[in-house]
Amino acid sequence: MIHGQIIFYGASVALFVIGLYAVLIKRNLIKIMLGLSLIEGAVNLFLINIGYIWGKTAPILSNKELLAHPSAKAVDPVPQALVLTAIVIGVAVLALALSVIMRIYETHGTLNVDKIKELRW
Amino acid sequence: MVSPILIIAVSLFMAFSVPIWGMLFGKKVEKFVPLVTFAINLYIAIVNIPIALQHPIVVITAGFKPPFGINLTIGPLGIFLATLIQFMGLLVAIYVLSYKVPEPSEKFYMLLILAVMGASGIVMTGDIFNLFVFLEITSIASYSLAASAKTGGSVEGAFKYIVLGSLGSTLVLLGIALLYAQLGTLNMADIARQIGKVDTTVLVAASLLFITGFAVEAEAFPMNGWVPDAYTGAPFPAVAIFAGAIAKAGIYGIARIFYTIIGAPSYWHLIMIIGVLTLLIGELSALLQKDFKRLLAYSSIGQMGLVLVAIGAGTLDTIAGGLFQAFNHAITKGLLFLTLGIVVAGVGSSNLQDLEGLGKKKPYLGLLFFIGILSLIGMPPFAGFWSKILVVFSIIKANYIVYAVLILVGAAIEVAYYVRVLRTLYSGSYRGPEFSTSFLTGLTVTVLALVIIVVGFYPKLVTHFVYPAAKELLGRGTYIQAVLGGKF
Repeated sequence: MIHGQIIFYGASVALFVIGLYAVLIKRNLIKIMLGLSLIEGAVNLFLINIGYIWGKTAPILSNKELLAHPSAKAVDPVPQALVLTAIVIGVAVLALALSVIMRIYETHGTLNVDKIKELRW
Repeated sequence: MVSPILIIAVSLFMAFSVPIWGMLFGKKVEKFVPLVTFAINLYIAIVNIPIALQHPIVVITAGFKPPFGINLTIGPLGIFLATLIQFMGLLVAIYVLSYKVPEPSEKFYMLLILAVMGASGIVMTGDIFNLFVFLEITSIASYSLAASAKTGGSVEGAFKYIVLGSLGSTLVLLGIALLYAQLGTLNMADIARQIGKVDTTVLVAASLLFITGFAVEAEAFPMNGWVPDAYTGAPFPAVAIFAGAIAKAGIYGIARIFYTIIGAPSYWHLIMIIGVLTLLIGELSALLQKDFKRLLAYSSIGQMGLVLVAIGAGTLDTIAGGLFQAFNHAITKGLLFLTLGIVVAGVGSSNLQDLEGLGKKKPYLGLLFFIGILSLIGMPPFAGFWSKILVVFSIIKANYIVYAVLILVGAAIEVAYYVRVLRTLYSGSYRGPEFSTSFLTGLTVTVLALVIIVVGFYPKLVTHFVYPAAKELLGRGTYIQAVLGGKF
């Protein structure tokens, strides 16, 4: 357990923090969106890690060896299904956000958050 | 019996076939698609009300019995909110028949159906990952609705919504991942049954992640920065959907996770604290607004705060009061936003200065504003009176005196700024351009005003549903048993 897998948990925490830093500190809209993508990636990596067991393989049941001892050789497939869904959703949000950013650039002529102040209270 | 899963299936089919109907029968048919969809869905929801009130409906998909597979679990709370959401959808669909929606119009209709579908999916699902998926469908559809006006303010509001919304749903996903890591199940009833096995630290972290994530849709502090901007920029029918359907789905997410899944009273206090902060911040910011649409957006935040305080207090009466308040918020804010939509289409501005004397010039629209505002500040004989009185008295009875005082402070601020709005509407003389109200938009707002008055005289019409719903939230054993069977 300790070997290897801890690196992935550490990586997902690091990605999360880097992403959060970008969202909170960066002033460029595209960089903010990149930060959000990093956060999503971090959560996806975390989800994969939960179901992954070191040295085991994906539960594709055409493999004869795997069919004989499914629990000894296979990892939990549910988190992988969840991550596939989450990736698709993330792509949709990213595409939408980028098109909104394009529209903001058309109307405001800038991507800097500090210069876009039409609706501040 | 008509299976409630059809609400989701019909919506998805109709949403993606909007352009096909347009190609087959001409462009003019497209705008009737949301109307037909929501009418069918409302019928399905209404025929299922008596069944769900007796016993939660569990719909099993693909033949996998719970806790495996994805199932829908619709109890009194789910069916109450699903009916409310579809009702608001139907009224907005009638409204858009004679309202000039932003081009391309077929995409606007599509997004409208998808946003309402996602919101009803959230209140019906029994699987926590499915909850996340519906949350994302609703969010993506409403980001696009917020951006659909394409003006500078509209896209800016939409971007704020996207940043907060996708951060929020990622946090929800992380919360789900934490629970899955501990329990290895995604079925909400199964998680609820085994929640005692979860490590306390993990549970605290997960509950914080969930409340922060759902706070985006529920317009709760600190994730509500998008609300004023997105509301101001979005077209009026979309705003009515935000307040009437999507905010309700957010409230449902918080209530379901904290009551049914976590079920420990020590966590419920968190909802109250967040609620009271939301209430005071929303009302105080509304006090400063000069634009009516923006003022209504801040007031919407305040109202949702009140709903959260009531739901977090955790007795039968307070939860019922909170749900009643949520119902009133949907109807009243729907009325005010849609009436303002008619006015703005004519006047061209929602600035309070430009609306001076409008109540005298257009007595009927003035009367609608009057009814909506009096109901919001809790005057008899309107619907808002009953919910506010129920919330305040039940919170006092539950021994949360400080919260009751803070709610009354919020209500006093609310009265202050709404009286200012009424005074503007009825003083001075109207100087704006002439305009007329089309029949269908007028019909929609009249129906909403009638609902407020009828519920004001017969509050039993709503309390008949909110009490079983509150009982469902407090009696988590029934929920678990309905899904998994056996004794709990």
